[in-house]
Amino acid sequence: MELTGPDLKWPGVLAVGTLLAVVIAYAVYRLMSRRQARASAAVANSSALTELPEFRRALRRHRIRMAVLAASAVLLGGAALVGAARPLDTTVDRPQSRSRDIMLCLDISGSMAAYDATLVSTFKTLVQSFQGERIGLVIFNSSAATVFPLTDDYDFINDELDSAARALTGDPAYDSFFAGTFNGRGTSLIGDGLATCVSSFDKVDLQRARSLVFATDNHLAGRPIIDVDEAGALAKAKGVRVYGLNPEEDGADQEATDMREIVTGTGGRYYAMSDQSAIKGIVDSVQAQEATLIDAASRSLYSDNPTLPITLAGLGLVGVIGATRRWAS
Amino acid sequence: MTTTLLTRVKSKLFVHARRKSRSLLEGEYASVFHGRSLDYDDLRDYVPGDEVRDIDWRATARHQAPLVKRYVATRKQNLMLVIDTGRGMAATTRSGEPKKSVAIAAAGLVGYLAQRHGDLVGLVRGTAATTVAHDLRGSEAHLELLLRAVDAATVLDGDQSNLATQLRWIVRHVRRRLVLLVVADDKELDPTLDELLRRLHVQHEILWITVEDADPTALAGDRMAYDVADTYTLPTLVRLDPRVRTAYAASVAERVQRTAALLDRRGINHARVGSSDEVVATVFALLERQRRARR
Repeated sequence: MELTGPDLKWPGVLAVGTLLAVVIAYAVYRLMSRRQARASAAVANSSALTELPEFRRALRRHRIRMAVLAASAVLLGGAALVGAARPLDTTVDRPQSRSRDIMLCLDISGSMAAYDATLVSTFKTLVQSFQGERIGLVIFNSSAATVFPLTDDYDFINDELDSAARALTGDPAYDSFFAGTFNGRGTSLIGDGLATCVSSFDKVDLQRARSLVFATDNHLAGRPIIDVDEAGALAKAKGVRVYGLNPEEDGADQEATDMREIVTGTGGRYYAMSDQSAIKGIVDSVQAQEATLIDAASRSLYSDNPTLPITLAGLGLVGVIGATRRWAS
Repeated sequence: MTTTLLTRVKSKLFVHARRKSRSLLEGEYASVFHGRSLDYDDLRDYVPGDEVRDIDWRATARHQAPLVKRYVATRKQNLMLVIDTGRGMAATTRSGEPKKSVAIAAAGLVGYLAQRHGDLVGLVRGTAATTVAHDLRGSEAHLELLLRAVDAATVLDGDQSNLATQLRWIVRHVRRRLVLLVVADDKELDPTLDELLRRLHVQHEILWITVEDADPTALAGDRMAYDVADTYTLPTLVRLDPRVRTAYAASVAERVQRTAALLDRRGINHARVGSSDEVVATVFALLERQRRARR
């Protein structure tokens, strides 16, 4: 955030107003001097008057009063003009998010249908633990679809997770949520899903902490293009830590053991869904990684800032009234 | 040609004559500046203001009304008008007229009376820098010329006033005895002037008329008052300040008193006049005082 100082919305008002003020002041001066020239009286020996101490005192008072009046009038007019030109405070906001990327990867195959709503609410709980981290959601069945890419707009993330929860509890109005997840051969192609999720990270040139929460039961049904081991190797190659979250429908079966191996192979951890420490463990582990700065696009924020001109105009008004008032004498 | 300056002087006299007869003023003048010879000429009707000792009591006894003796070769008096024509005299007087109008009215009136009386009238006028003298002559046209000269010489962009220059000129150049009618600016009389007056009073008879300045603290607020000496504009709000007005009135009263005391000490009859309407009455009172003083 940097402040570039006060700016004027309509600087033209200032120029035109100043010009107008000068023209009007000159016209008034001409008019008054002409009128005075018409009605002037020549007096002689006025030094008898001007040398009186009373006169000098009154003259000093008069001069101070006139000076105050002039200064106040200029202040009032100037502040009014500046106020009319609408001073703006411009702040250039160049947000830098020191953050990590977390991709949520959800298996929506039939075998998971009973757990998905629970998993989404787990995700929501997980999201609440993060601040500034970029989060994305990819769902997969026979093919993977990105629900939303990596973003740090948490309102949006929460909205999307809510819609996901409603879709996964069978709300027919949200059927389009599943669009694009049945394009593969079979259902529940775990390897393809993981590979897509791993490929969904952006800014691949940038060294960042990338984590993937992989919610699946690892029950394959079909012929994937990439199998789970290859996908795990891809994740490892790309430096993505995969955290496994398994509902463990049938206890710690062979698929669960395979999954644990793959997940721990990427540097991540494996949790059963029922594990109370899962969320805390993922959050702690993600936050333990070093965050990397990324520059977001800078933007200018403008806000009206009339306080100073209004205050000065008020002061000027007080001065004008004070100087023109006939103080009891 | 518009009305001559002298016509204006006379018209003032006629307006005034409703209260005091014009001949009264003439008689007043005559009795102040009487010139007598021993050659008796004839008698004329007495007019108020004539010297009582001029009344021919024997002739009056034979006649119903008092008669006054007239002499053949009445010695002519020489009236010298001494008028300040500096720029200060072009300024405004109390009535709002230019001060020179009042000066011309006063000098014109006394000059007219003198001319009617058969006296010669001359003029010494000038500023701080220059002095111009005009001959002593007895004609009405000459008087008109003198008044015009004063009128033309007194301008707002002229030189500053200093009456001492004119008085010094008279001290240096005039040998014979004169009646001096000094029309002066409303200023403090400095010691130089005092000394000159002491000197002049020995030789001449002096009448002193001061033309009053306008009171800047009484001039209306819609008018700008500026000093003719340096064109300094008196700030309207300051000059109208009641405290300033009071202080100014006090200082003016003090100065008038000082001037009066100085002239009295020198035995010079003086009067202040601030409006051409007051000229006749003021001059009458001045002559009256002069007559009493000579007794």
